[in-house]
Amino acid sequence: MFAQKGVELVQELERARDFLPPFNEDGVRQVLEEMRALFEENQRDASSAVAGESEYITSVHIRHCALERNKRCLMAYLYNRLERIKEHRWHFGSVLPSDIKANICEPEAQFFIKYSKSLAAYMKSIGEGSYSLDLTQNLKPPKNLYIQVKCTTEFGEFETEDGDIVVLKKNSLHLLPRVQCELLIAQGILEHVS
Amino acid sequence: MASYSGNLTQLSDLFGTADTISETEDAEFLSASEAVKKLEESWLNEMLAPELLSPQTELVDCLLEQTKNMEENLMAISKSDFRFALHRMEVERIRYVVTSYLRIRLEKIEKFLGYLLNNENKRQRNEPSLLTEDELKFAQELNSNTETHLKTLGLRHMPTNMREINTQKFITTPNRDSYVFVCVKDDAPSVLVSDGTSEGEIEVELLKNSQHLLPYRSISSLLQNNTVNLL
Amino acid sequence: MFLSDLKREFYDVILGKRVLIFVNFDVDAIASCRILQYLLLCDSISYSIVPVQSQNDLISAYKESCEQSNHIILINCGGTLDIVETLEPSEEKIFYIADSHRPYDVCNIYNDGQVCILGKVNEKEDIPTYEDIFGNDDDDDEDEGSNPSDGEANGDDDDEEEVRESKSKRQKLDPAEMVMRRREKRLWHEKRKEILFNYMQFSFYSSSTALLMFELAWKLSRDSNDLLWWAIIGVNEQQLLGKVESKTSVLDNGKLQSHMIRLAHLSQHGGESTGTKDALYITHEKDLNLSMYRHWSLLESLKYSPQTASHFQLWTLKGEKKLNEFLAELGLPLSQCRQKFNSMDIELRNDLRAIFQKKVEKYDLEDLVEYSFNSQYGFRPKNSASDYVYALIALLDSAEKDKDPADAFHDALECLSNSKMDAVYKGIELAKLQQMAIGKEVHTCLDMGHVISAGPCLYAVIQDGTPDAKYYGYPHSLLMLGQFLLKAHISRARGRGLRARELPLIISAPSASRPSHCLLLGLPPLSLDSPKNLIGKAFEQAAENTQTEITSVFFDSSVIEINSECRTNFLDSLFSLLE
Repeated sequence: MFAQKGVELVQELERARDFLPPFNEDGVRQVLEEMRALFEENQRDASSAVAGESEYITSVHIRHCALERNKRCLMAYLYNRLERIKEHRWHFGSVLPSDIKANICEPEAQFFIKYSKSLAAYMKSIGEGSYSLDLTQNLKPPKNLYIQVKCTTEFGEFETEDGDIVVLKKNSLHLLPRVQCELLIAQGILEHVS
Repeated sequence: MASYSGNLTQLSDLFGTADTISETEDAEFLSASEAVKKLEESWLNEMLAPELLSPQTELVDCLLEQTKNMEENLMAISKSDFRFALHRMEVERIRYVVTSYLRIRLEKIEKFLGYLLNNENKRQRNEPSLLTEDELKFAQELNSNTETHLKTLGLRHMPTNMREINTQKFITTPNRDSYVFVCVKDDAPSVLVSDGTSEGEIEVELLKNSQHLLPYRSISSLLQNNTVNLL
Repeated sequence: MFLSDLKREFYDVILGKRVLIFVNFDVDAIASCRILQYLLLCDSISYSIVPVQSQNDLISAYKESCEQSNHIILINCGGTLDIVETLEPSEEKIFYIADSHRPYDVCNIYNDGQVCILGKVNEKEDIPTYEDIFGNDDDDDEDEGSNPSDGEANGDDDDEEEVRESKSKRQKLDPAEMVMRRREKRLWHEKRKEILFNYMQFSFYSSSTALLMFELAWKLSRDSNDLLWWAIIGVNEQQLLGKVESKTSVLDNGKLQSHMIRLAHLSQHGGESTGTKDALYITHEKDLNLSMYRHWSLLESLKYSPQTASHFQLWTLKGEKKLNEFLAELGLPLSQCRQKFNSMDIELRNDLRAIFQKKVEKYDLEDLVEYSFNSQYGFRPKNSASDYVYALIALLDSAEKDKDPADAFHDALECLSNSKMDAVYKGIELAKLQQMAIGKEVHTCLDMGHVISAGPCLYAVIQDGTPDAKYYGYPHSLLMLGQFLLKAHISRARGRGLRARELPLIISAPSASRPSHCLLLGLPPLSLDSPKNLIGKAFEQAAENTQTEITSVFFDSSVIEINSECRTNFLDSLFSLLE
């Protein structure tokens, strides 16, 4: 059946809604192969149809539809991955954790870098350059100035904006200003306890 | 939300910088507390409207200046003073509202990318733009990045006559018919709303302080000149 | 030095600064830590909390974290150690010790400014005066507090100093006076050693740290029922584990009661219409002194509570029959007693206390019905303070090889959050398992005669590989096991065996946190009726004599951990010491 591989690619993304599966280079290649094969066949049939044999017109038509479908599946796959990568920038910050980095291919990594750059440029431009506002922080309305956090992994020393050093040992509890902890909480090093 | 904004503005008045003023486009002067209130209204409107509204750049800039001044003043007070905690909280709250407002706008820009860029290209010189300069730059960069990416990974390898995608087919347009709750600030001319059948229309009177559930399309112009607020 | 005005000398000093807090692994410390956390949160004082289990933990944790802040609070740890010598802190660090362990190390008491002990001086503790330890009219050079940790004078140094001093003064003094002086100094040093020995030989506990923290909260006007309940739990732990004398516990209970009444008045007459039924209500009433009877069936609770088990000797068949007789006389049907408490008949449940009250005199069980503190969140079921204490101990001791002890610490700390009852119920289930394991082990020990009288003391060794050993391989659970065992053993004794009442008990069990090591715990004899314990010093001495390495020095000196192989040697030398 035509365009089977394309549908498989889309299904792969659909099944893995919470995370980004590795870039299925094989799948993409197969879809492009199929498209090329279909196109060559079509060319042959089209030239013969032009030459006068009209029975090939339906097969040309079918192959053309299959080609369109393949293209659409492939575009959907690529575009959806892009959307997820953009989301990751908002969630994890400008440095991706290594397990996600392993799942994206080179052009996607390039896209991520460019996206981060334009986002950073935008953030710097608000406020007339007096200072830049980090839009990825402050995701929830602030309730307290200080929050209690528990350290889940051994992190070592961490310096706050005021210059205080906090030693983040595993299973130690801390009371820290909210703004300092937000990044660490997003990375999973600290855990908020009420 | 009402009490929240009330507290916020009272504290602004307590603090020394309550007297700094800001300009709007029409050269009106707003006090700090009014600026905060206006920002909150714009924030709510932006959050609840299905399409991108006009940017409140001056308001945002002015409030960011405010917070910077407040922070500088805060350096002078000792940390254990009660006022320090209060004013820090206020700074954090204002910053949260501004960040959230800008974030919502960016989200909408990313969602309606094609549509907004088309509008930009189509608009006349003297019409106000829905995007600030920086937002426009961001949107254009994003658009070109996406296109290059798709081209490199897929379109380049495809057969020759399929190398273009008609982006126009794939853009999402905002749904201007979705329903929103509105609260009327001043008396406004009544609007005509379809009553469910294909021809009939109902006239809805918009008196001051009344609340309605209406399709967005009918009140979009009123939203623009600030006669209604979204809830 | 002692800080008696906690607000001005301690709290106002740490306002606006960062603090580092080290907390011991016991219930009292956790309760105090919770109260302190609340106070620090109110004033936005940034803190870091590190749980420590033993002296080595404290030293390594201190080395890692000391850069963080200059104000360090030690809760239930460090009072009995010489802080300056053990941790070697730099000049700017200030230590605040809130410790219920006694005796305080003299260097901590007389330290000038770097080590502050929170609390008042208690005359009953017989703290030696400064002159007795450090001061002496003649030895101005050596002892003038320049280095108090050097107070333990070495014989050789002494002689050198003496010789130098005598050389410098030789022209002025004549030989007879010199000899006199030397003799005086020697006498003074001997007297000093004796005083120190008498002071340090008994290790015991004093008033709860949680109560101290609560009173600080009261002075800051930040007290509430929640904080009071945490203080009650801290105090209750000391009473339950028999750590304090009954006088102290009576005093503490009195204080808690007065706070309770005051807070109840405030909430009634206070401005706010706190009609919220979802608040914490604390009551002080007569209640059955059976472990966790509200969460268990009555029969099981009677079986595993130390007093009733020892009184009826429930490990024998005769004992069980006596218990059934007792229940029959009370009018409680056996079928009801076997059910879970909440499923018993409601009339029986409500009158339970009255029913027991009638017959306790006849059966000589007066301490079965006692006053205790109970709490109730809104309309949820009532819990007594001892329920919480059992739950917390079980959670603290739940660390296994794949669970970090600090995780156990956090589980226990979570129990004390407002209205988080799930954690408490989980703890109570664990505590039930623990009590059952302890009860069974006592039963086994008595049946197999594991409690051996070795002349100066009794001892019992629980071999490695005993099933359920993980339930009591920790200091506090071992303490509970030891106390149960001692009571049960004594209750069985007749005639000659009555001498056993005057013997201390040494009990050893495999350590649950470190395989191939065992814990040794010493309990004072029952007849003394005082928790003052000199086993700690004996352990130290025996370890020195046999060159055994004490792998874990806990803050309570009556428990130590050593390698199981060295155990027999160690015990032999210990017995010879105790004679």
